Amino acid sequence: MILDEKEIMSLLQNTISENPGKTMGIGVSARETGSTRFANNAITTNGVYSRLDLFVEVLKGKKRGIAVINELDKEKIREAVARADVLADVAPENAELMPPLGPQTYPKVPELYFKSTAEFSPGKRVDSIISVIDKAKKEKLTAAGFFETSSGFSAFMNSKGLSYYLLSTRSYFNNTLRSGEGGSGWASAEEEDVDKVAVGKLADGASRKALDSRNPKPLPAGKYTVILEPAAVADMVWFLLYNFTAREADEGRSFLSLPDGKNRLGEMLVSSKVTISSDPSFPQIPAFPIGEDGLPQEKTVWIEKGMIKNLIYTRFWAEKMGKAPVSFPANIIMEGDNYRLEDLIRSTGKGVLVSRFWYIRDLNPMILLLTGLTRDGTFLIEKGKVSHPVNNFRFNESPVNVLKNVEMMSQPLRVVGGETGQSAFVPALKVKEFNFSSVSDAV
Amino acid sequence: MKELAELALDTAKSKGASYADIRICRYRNQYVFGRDKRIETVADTEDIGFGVRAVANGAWGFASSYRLERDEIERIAAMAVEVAKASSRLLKQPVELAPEPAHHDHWQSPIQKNPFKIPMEKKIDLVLGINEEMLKVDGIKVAMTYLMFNEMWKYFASTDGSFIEQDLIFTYPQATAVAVVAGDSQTRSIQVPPEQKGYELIESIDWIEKARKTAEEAVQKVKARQGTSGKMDVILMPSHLCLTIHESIGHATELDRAIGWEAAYAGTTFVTPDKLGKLKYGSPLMNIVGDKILPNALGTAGYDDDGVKARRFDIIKEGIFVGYQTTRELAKFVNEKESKGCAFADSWSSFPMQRMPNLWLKPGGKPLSLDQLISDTKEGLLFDGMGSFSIDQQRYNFQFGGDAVWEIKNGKVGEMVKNVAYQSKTTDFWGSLDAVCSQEYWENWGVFGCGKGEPPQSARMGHGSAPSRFRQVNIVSAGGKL
Repeated sequence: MILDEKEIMSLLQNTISENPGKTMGIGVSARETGSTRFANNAITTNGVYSRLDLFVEVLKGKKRGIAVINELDKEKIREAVARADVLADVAPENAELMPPLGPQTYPKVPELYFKSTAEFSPGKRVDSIISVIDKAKKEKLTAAGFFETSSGFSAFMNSKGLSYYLLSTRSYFNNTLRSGEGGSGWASAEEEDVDKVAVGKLADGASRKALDSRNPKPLPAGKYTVILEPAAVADMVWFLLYNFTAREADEGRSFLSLPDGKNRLGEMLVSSKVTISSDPSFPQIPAFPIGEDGLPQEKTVWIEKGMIKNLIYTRFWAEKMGKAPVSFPANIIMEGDNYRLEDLIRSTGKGVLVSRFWYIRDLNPMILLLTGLTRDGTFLIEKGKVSHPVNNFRFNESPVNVLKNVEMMSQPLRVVGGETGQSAFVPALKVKEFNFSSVSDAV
Repeated sequence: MKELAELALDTAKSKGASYADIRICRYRNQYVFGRDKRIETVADTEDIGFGVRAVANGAWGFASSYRLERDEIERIAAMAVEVAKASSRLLKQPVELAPEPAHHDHWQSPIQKNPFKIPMEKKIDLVLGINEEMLKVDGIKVAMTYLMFNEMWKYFASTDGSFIEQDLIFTYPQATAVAVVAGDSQTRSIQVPPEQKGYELIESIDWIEKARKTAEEAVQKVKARQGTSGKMDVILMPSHLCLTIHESIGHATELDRAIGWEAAYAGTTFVTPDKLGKLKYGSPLMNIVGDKILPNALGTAGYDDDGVKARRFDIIKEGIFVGYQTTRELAKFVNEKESKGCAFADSWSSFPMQRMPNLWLKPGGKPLSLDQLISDTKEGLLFDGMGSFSIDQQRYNFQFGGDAVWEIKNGKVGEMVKNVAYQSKTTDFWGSLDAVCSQEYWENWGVFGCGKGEPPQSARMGHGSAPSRFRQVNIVSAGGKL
């Protein structure tokens, strides 16, 4: 049950009108989701989910109260406003609370809503999954995975005139195909338009990896030249940008900190080959054009030819430091080069090809040291060719080192990070001296 | 409520369901978050809805909605059956549920003080008081305190005849001091286990004393020497061992993982069904219990989300793996006649899945104090609290850091060290367990946000233990420069 823009904005406007003189904001987000899980070549769960959240904030100077309910009943909304009002009375002043924004103009972004996705039925999901399982069975593989489609809106209005309504759809598919001989392959995709999810191609990709990674041979841990496929790169770059906040850097508690409350903004951090930006208008990976507190989400260059060009500045921290606010990245776009993955492999005397990462966590934020594991296809490269599959590894490595040690890049493409589950438009990377700290027996 | 539940069950049956259940749920949360001398968030949230699960043509279907109205209940129940029928096109073997008697019951967390009835002002004062005390310590740059109170009210009814109402209340305090000294930054958190308790949990702690000690330890940590790599004995405190038990035993002994249902996401496990009753998981000191009835533990309930009465069962006995965690659907895969009661859904809108119960290490059988254990350790490290954690998709290779780590030299706790973790293989690690302190040192800790499944669900469960020693574990240094 997705309410149309007119209906929902009228509800928000009426709530604000009912509270003259009150500084407040009210937002509603709702989502209809259908998802199907499969494993062992059969469906395990299949469901449809209808969710709604209504958020009310009341501000009294530097004091704020918040109430969240999941109903649209007018009396319940009144109660939520009253509750937020009481909490705002009780809350002490927060010197960092910024005043609500007035009307904003948002950049135009490519279409985020597709009827094809919104109307995708459980039966269609099952049809797609049957096609994956048929492929798996032909190769004597076992398939598992997940197919989800959803549609919904996000709407907000405040008493200062800020308002927006965004309609969007999302489709997400992943499949893991496994062999009984120690092989495993994975492929996934996220698209706004479900018709762009190439299930057949993704099943072929996972199948090929599963077959190629059978009977892995042991390879000791150590420092290797690695070729990180785009899904592995997506996770590395997202973890880098998760930690790109100016405040942590200025407070001395980040890898971007410098003495005397300074940060590395403007510093050459990584290889001059590296340029990373975010842009909700980017056609291959569009995103919501709305950032913190309703600020417009503009194109932001984070790293340009190795140099840090922007950090995340909240509205408060930006004002304190005399900067413009910069919202958390809407997406990730990393420039690549005019090579294919095969070219990167061909150029490598000895190295390890990594399909994707898993279970990445911070180990030391002051050097952005991460730990995690390879998964679903790890291979030895010898003399420019994939020689044979090898065991998985744990890595203890920093994305800063990864991007410092980039030697070659492929053309970028839209992928989903295996750990973060977030999309990024990134290339495959050839990286020297990547630190695998131990061997994992996992398949 | 019973009438609405029966409407859903009758609708599902009339549409062709051979089994159906409904969970009508109301979740209430209260949050207070303070940073330094400011309160950033005071919020009340409420989330109400229902989910209907149905078996038709041998397959599951699920549908859910936030609109708790008669016509919507009928629509959603019918839709659950329709989805089940779509799923049945790809059926390998029909869903068979292990038998469970019909229950008519009401179960409530045994709390003393309902946290939602405590004035918000009191909570705000506590948060600000903790932060202020931490900031008094020289070197503390940031202090953050977070209080969360959570109520889960659930009404479960099934076509097997159960009607079960449950009301669970949780209290989750968390406070962290961030020290910044000489180009480094380290954190230390107040160590208080989250429990299924009311506000009495908050009132049982001297927060100001803990805040001061925690902040001082954060500064000790930032000034500490870097840890070095090598093989070393480790003593793990219950506040730390909690997460190691969770990741290396809890997830590894989930039957849905063992039979491949999580292969695409969380992974499978090295603990395959052929190893049941045979696998030497660890030393004979290792006794692990699965437990949904442990008082005040995070995973305790009267019944699980299959409507199965809570129980306690052995998972590892004297180092040998003897039992999986199961649900009504999973029991048959290990030829068991009844469920262990481990189904849980994190929302009315989530499909119940096999989730870890409270899972704990039994204390040692012989008297052994923490002091005696330390005195008996010539050289090693003592880990307290949770730090960095990562484990592979079959639960072999793991690496854990701590919230605070001290060196042990010649039987005494020495200086703090920083930036260290231990890395091992699950069975090697548990095989090196050579001492577990006795009952009086056993503490009930837990994990509040365990993720699993697609769409992802979050669950909470208790993991108790007594301080334990593991011999010659691989220590990894996480220090260095950018």
